[in-house]
Amino acid sequence: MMYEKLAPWVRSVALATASTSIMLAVLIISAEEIPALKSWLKETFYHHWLGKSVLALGLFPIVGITFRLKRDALQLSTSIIIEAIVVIVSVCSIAGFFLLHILKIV
Amino acid sequence: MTTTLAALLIIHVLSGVVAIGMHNVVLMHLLKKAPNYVFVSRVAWSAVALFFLSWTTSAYYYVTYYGSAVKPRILAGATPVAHTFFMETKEHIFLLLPFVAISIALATTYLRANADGRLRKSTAFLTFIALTIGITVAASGILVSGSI
Repeated sequence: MMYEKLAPWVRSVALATASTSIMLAVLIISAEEIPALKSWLKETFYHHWLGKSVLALGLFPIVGITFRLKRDALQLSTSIIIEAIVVIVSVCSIAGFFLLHILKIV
Repeated sequence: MTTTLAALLIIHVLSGVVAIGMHNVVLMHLLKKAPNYVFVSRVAWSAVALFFLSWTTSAYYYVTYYGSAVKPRILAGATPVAHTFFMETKEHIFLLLPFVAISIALATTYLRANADGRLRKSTAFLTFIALTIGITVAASGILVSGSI
């Protein structure tokens, strides 16, 4: 069955999404704190937001294929839970950073 | 605003809202013990397509118009926090959504032939997270639009 062959992809895409979430959170916060990084994103990709989008779109398939090639025994449900937790932490980090930023704490 | 930009903004909002609604449908079905996975996976893949449509249309509007014409008006208005917190957060956390949507769609497609109860529950949890992010992004969009 075609669907049974999807198992490694379900796992690798979950881990690729988690990795992309971490990269985005780090990149977004770093670009606000390091003006040179934000300038590089603007100069390279025309706009810093486009730069973040392009880097995420580039990283996602690379990490996905890398995890697909690895023989990982991680359960599918566990990989989805890991992804969900990483996404929650990434979103809270991004929102928390901008909240601290407007409060002039960072 | 040109007609093209207005059309892109409308497509961005509509496709995003419909995709969020589709994730709600996916979640409601995944909460059942024996969902119709053929239907659920089709809805989940449609949400993926709509999130990418919303992303591309918003990119053109955001890069060519928002920064120069909308952002200065918000910052000069009564609620600059609409940009400094809500828009900044919304534009960035949105970037995670299409990838999460792909993961949900793949998991529901796998479930069509492999009814795994644990995977169904964990995918329901992930869909709930995606739905929460989507609703937050949409609500922030309403706030940003209302502050001009």
